[in-house]
Amino acid sequence: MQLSTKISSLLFPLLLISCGDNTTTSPIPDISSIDINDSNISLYSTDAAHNYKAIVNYTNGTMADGTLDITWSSDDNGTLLFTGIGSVTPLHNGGNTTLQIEYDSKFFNTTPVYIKKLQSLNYSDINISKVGVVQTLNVTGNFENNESNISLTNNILWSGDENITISEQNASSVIFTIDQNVTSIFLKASLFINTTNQVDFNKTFN
Amino acid sequence: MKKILLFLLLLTTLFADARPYIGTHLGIYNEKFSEIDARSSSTLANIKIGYGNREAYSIEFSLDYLNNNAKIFSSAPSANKDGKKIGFNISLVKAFDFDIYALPFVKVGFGSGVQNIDRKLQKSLAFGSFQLVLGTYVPLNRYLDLEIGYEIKHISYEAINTITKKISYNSVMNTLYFGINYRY
Repeated sequence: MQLSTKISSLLFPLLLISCGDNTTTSPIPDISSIDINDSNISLYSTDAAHNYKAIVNYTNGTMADGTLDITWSSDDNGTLLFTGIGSVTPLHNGGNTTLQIEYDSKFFNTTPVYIKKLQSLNYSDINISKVGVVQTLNVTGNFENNESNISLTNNILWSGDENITISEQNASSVIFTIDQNVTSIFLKASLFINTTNQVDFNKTFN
Repeated sequence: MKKILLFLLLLTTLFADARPYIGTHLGIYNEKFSEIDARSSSTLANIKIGYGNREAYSIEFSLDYLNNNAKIFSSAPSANKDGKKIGFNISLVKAFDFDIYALPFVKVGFGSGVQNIDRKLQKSLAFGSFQLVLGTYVPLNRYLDLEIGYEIKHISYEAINTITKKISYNSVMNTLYFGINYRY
């Protein structure tokens, strides 16, 4: 009796352990791919920074935001400027490039980026006979592919001749004062100023 | 200086009549994970080298080789199971001499190891462990003894990289083993 009790007490944990089963399908999903949340990016050359997300796809169908964990790049650093992680702004008036994401040299993805070229500006009216009066000039842009009167949000810096004083400006408007009686004034909108891609749009008001 | 001398004196006392020994054991284990519903059970082999007194204290270094039949970490369809585990342990053994034929012991220790897996970003997974063994030596003569033990081991695995997170998994492994030791 004592012997059988001893044998049983030895065999019981053995039985418990040997009865354990094996997991045959991993419960831990693996990474299947990484994607950019926009598959075909089109930007105006005067656009402010656009933010994109890197999506990590898993084998169980779930997704997660991997924007901060992924390495971002473009195939042409002269066309796009990275202003943050996943944040890009155009750096060229027109052109094509590719936005790329990569992780650990094992996961890659790309998406084409098309930058629409600004071709001309539409100006609001001003009165050059109003000396010493603050005036506002509003502009919109005409882009390639016949896209006209598009609001401008970024990348333009205004300058003028010696007869005006600019007090405030942004991409789509300039606030200025005409300092003396003149027959014309000159204003210049510089796109991508101080870069090799600088393009100037000049306007003389009579 | 006094503390060092006291420590050396303690060591001398603990390891009086100590002898080196080597041993091996075979066992079966069942591993259960805490964060996920996953289990693994298979067989293991172990070789050990130690130094100590069979009736009192010993220090032991051992190598584990664990078969594996479960697929817990690997994701590749071609991998039908994770790889085998190899581990290294350091343990302190305290045996008790109750003047019976067996010498019950308690063994505590820690270790580390590695397991091959097949994931997109990881091909192996390191782990750390600490363990407690309750068992008994059954002396056959002055040199040989049988060893039967039940081990409970807590294992912490290296984090799994999912790009957005690094997730660590833990498990508890129960092992029952039977082995033999030779003491010089």
